[in-house]
Amino acid sequence: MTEAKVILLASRPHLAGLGLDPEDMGRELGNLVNPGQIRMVDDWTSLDAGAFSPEDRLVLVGRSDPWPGGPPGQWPLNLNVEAPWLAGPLNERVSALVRAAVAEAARLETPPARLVEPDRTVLVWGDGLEAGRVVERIAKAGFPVLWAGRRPGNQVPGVTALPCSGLRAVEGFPGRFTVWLDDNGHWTDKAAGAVVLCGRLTRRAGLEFETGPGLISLSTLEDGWEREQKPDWAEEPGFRLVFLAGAGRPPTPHGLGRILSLALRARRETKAVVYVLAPQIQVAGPGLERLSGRARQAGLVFLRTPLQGPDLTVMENGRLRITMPDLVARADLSLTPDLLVLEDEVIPDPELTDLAAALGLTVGNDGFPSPDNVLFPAGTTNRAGILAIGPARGTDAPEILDREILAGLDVLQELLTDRTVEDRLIVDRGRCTLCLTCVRICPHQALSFTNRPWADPLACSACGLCVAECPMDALQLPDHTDGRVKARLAALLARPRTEAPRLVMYGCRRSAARAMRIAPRPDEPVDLAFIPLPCAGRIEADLVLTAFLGGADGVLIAACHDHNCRTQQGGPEARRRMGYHQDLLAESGFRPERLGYITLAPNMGREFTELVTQFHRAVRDLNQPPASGDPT
Amino acid sequence: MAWALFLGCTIPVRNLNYELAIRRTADRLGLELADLPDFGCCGFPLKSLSIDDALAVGARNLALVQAAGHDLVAGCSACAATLAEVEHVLAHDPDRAAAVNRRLAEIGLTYHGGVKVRHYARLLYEEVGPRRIREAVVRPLTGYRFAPHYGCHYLKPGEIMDYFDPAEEPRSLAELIDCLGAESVDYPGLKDCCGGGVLGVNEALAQAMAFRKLDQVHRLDVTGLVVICPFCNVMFEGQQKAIAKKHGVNLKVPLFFYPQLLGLALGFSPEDMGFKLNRIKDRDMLKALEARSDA
Amino acid sequence: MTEDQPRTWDLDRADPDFKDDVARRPGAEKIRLCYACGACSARCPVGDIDPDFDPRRLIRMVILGMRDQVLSSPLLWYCATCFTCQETCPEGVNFTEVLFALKNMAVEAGYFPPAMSAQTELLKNHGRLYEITDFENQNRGKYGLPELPERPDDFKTLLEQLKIEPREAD
Repeated sequence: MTEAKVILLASRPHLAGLGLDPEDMGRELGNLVNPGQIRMVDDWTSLDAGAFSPEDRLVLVGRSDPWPGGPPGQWPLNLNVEAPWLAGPLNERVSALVRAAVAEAARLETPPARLVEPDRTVLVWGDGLEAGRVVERIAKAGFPVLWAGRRPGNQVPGVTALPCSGLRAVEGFPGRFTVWLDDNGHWTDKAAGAVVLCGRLTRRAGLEFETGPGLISLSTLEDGWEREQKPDWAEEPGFRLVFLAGAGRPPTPHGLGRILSLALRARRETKAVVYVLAPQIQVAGPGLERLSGRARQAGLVFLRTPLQGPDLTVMENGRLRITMPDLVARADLSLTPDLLVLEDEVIPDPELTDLAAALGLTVGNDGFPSPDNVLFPAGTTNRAGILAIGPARGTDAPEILDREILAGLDVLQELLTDRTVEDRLIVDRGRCTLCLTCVRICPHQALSFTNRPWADPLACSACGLCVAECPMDALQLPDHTDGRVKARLAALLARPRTEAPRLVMYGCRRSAARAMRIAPRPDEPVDLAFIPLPCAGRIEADLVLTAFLGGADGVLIAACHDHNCRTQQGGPEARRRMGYHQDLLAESGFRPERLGYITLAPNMGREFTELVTQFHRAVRDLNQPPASGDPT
Repeated sequence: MAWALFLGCTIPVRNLNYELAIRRTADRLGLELADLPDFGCCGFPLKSLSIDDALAVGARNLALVQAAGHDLVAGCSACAATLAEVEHVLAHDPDRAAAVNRRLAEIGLTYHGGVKVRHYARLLYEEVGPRRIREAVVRPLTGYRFAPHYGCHYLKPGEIMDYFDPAEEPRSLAELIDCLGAESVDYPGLKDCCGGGVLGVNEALAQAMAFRKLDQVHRLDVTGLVVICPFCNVMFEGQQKAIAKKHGVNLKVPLFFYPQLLGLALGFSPEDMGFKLNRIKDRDMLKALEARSDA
Repeated sequence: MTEDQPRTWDLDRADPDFKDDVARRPGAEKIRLCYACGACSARCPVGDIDPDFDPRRLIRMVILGMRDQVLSSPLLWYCATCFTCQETCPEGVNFTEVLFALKNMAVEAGYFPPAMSAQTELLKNHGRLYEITDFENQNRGKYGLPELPERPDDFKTLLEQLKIEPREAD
């Protein structure tokens, strides 16, 4: 760690605006830095950029964002945001905040940077129309493409066909993957910068029934009809043909399009009476509104089922009977279909499920390898550089496939570009015992090792999980070393106590820190020291216990909501650790309720205040000695 | 070329005041009206029973008008809407027009299409216009406020009425009242139906609908309710006492046919406008108005 | 005003051709376009007073094929023909016209309120709903209004085929 020159720039108007005497405060703050390193500023625009060198670290009291024209190392500090959350005399609060910023500024790490030149080759795995489309579009965008599949085409320029029976492993890192393909037992390896899983479309009817007489899946009916053969019931007048959107969920627009096209065909070519049953009819697809109008005009009867689907009972003669309430008719309806057509849904191909397991891809609730997380563009997985598009995501609609391809191309363009990157992880060789806990725990497979572990900068998301789990404390994130975090903590806790219970919040930069900026002031005096972290995944027992040992009465962990975590697993992992942390507290003689866990989004300012106030009151109650005299 | 005055079934028997007012105001404003004695029912009551028969009966009236070389003006909204619809249907459906003409041939008539059908209020609004009416006014009704009732068949179906006054935001009657020097008042139930269409089948329902309007209007600071249709008049004036009794509310809402108001403003006496035949009226207002000197 | 409806409607016994028969009637061509948005029922002034009069529900009954229940229903005759539903419908179903078509079909099947046959007789005999006798003409003369004749012959001819016969009790 280098002790670098820290310069404190304090805005007189900002201090005066808080009700402080700028000169008095300026003298107090001057004690926090080396002599001559504090400057009082009246107007930020009057500063001369030439007065600073690039290695200088600036602490800017009175700004929310860095000063343009200044050196890279800057710590803006807006006292209006931070000061109301501490308790005690104002000048003590300001002093503590500035001392914390100076302590952090003094411990800046500059990790080494290097040039990466990723391989622009993209390997696409899959068969069929969907895979063909993906391959074509990626090749058109200028990437060399390897098409691995059972029957890859070779008509497209820039595409190399690699017939194989399976994809077995993807080793290495984004920009320099080694992909292992299996050609009936004969394995070969190929180099690729990124891998796009497309797979093969597989469908299954969405209900628990075996298909039997009177029951058929939409795909089967579609396929049979394509051969220009009218079904054998075509001439039966009054034949009741009933389409049921699958599994008690609304049909997707694409699914509805298929149902309507086939139903209209039935009306045109047969004498059947046609019903379409669905919880909702969503016409958000090209031409669907018009199609549904034509369907109604042609005499299709649309009935809205309850969300979970209609009641289906098997009658004595083996036929199915449908009953459901109809809110428009204000009566219950019953119907015995002569043929019930079940919409089938796309399911993960078993081959895809195996592949996801082999590649270490986390699988969502629907079985497909893309995270249920709103921050991740369609197609990304937990491994950077491996995308799942089309059938590998459960998509069968051509227009949605096109959009996924576009989103995937954005990801590929950003990833496979030559650029300079900084190391994202610092390893203390002296401490590391090569236990490989970090390699095993990384949810992104971003770590590997030669004679020491290292994190690939293209794959690593700086979540801090490995840092938190390393049993030897051998790993550090450059921006948030233990030293730096603890220096800030110490600076903020070095104030005289007030009546308010002393709270520490370890909060995610992305959510909690931003929510705090727009949070309304608490109604009662709260004493909250805020420590921002790159991700809640970074929070380890050491940090929690250090806070308590430093005088905190309560520690609050603030993460992003489970499906909003920037690193996918950091926040959920922090939640999972809570039990362990609370056990430690109990063993140490503290009440486990003094450790709290909340989730926030960046726009939840009001909730920030509410949740902190609640926690503050709970800890205050714990602080009052109860009747039993228990001092914990 | 004149406007054949179509009186329908009700006006010539039950609303002579309305007929008088129409004839006299038309004359004063230079609108030439003609009488065709062979007119019969417009066909509206038949539509529920047989759409095609209603069409034929209505087309008969239009054929008579065409033979006389006129266009048609009606005082009853239902008649105006029905005959306008007949003209609209025959103009757009050649098959039905042919079928109707086959039936008219049996009674020695034929209809080629093209007769203009107007409600008298629409005629005043479009052919004369509020500005010319205002110029013709000699006894402005200053200081009096009226609640207009548009009814359902004067503006709807919009497609048939050429959307001349949008049914959701109507203004023609308001303007026709304002140009007399009076003030037209807006109120939440402005577009409500009088219920007349079901009086024959379900009296309680019809009265309940009329009551909604009357209850609102009687709480407004207005001299009376202005109507342009004898059906509406039956519900609001003819049935007012029964409705008031049934709902236990003392209503007392005077009714005016718009041409009556127009006539008063043009200088006619209440008697000339047939007010003797108005069953619920504001006698004080009429007396005061008569006492006002001509400008 | 409440009708007797069975708790569950058995669609197996409904008439799937009913909606197509209705759609063949002039003015009712678009009945099948209805997607049950409910705007008509929301604004209907009759429905406001009698909730059983529910335009959307009537249309649904037609689409489902409940021929007898619809044609025999007294509700068909409660429409005030205010056209509000028609002007509001986003699909242009023209429900007021649909009801006229349904009423026509009801009459053909022998269902109608008694007032209807009385009206028809008046038209056949007098050409108007109100008789104009010498008495009425004298009254008109008092007010200076021209006399009006009755011309029922044309009406007799035109309405010759119109049969209003109540259904025989089953």
